[in-house]
Amino acid sequence: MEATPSKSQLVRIIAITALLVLLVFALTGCISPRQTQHHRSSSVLQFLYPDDAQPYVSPHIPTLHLPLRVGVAFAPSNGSNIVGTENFSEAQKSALLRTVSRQFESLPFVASIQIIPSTYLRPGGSFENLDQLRHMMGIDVIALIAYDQAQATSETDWSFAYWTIIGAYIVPASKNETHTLMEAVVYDIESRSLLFRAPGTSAVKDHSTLAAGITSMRASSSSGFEKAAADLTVNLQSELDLFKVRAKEEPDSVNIQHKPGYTGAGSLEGWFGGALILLLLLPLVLPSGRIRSCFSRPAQRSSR
Amino acid sequence: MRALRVPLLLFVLPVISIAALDPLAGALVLTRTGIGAGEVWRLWTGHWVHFSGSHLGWNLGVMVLAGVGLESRRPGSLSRYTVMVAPLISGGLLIGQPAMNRFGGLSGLATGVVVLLGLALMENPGRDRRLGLGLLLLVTVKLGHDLLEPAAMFSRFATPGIRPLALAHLVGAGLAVVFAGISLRGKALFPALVHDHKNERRLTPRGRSG
Repeated sequence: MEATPSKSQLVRIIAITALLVLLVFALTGCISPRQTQHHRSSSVLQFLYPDDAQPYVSPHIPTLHLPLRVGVAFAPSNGSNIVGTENFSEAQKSALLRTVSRQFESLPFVASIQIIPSTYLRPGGSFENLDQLRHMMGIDVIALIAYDQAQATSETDWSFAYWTIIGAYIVPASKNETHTLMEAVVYDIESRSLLFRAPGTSAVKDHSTLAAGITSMRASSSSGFEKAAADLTVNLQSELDLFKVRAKEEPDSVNIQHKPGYTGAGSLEGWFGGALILLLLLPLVLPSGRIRSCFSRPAQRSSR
Repeated sequence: MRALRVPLLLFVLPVISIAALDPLAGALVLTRTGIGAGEVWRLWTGHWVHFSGSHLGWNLGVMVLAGVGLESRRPGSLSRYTVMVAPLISGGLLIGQPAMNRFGGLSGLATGVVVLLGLALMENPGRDRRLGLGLLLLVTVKLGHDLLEPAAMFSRFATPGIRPLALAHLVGAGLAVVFAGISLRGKALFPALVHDHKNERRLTPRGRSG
């Protein structure tokens, strides 16, 4: 005789099955292949042109009054950072600002450099904020540094080892990628003209275990900022050199003037001195009798 | 060696001494406020003050080379030219550059000395004339470069904001031409040159009679 389950037994079977299904979903949810992304950035565009304002294109040639007083600052972050994942430390920011300052200091036409505290720049402060800094700190030109870092983690085929729990601690089956873009944008505040920009990029790829994922991502983020900053430093130097060449060769792009009360110098360049040496001293090294040097007296005088 | 003595005493020793003694440079550099206060010596002495090693090196190098050449050919003319033209260059700069407050550098005088040497060499035929022409061409190229090339805006000096002044070279070269011209017309500013012409005239009839 076939025993039919009672109503209470049926309820129990359904409940156990549901619990098992829930457990399976819960477990696979923990260790199934996943992809997470982090993004942190500060944007010059959002700082200068907030609320979708149209970028202002200067209709006139920017006039730089030499010697320049330059400010260096980080563009305020745009607020999209994930709390607790800010790995571009204040110490790193300060180090980068000091490096950029040193590069500007090496320029002969720069009188002073001011590192501007980040609290002096308001998010979306735009050129009005820069005008305030110009009057408050006496700067003519500002170098704004912005960054954009994206991090992504994905599981490799070896991530099945995470099912064993212990595998989550010993198998590096998480693939981490960190892409960083840094940018220094140099503006003439008075004319609101972009003088030049220099980028710096880096890409850091590594693998980590599931358990060490967050620590590894933080380290990659920090390393990404460091490498991008180093790249930015190199590119900034090239751009500064190019800017000097551009100012010389394309006078239509930037107008150079000197502030009243400047110091003038009578200066003969090396090429002129070199050419003069060639002209005057070459006859001395030629065989005697071929040419008379300018240092010898004329024949009629020596014969007297 | 006599030709070397004048540039050495007139330029090399004073310029190096001034460069070594900072307070001395401050008292000698040409300043608009100083001239306004009656410190007229600055009209002369400003040319001996330099703002960096390369500024001093090239200016002094050119001055010594051209100065020795000029003294070899026209003894005494270097010091006369320097004494007469130095304040005129300074005055030209103060008038022509109203925004300038300070000036230093030997290049205006040195450019003039190169022009004088070129003109002196042009007096003689043959290779001397070609060398003189070469010097004058070099100065012309330099003046053209100064006027057309804004690269000098970014010349390196010890202090930022120092602007190379092409006007100093232009005034120096122009005054050298005037100085030589007046001398050739017998104004005794360039006596060696005038003396040679007299000798030439005296020698020619004797040469013919002999």
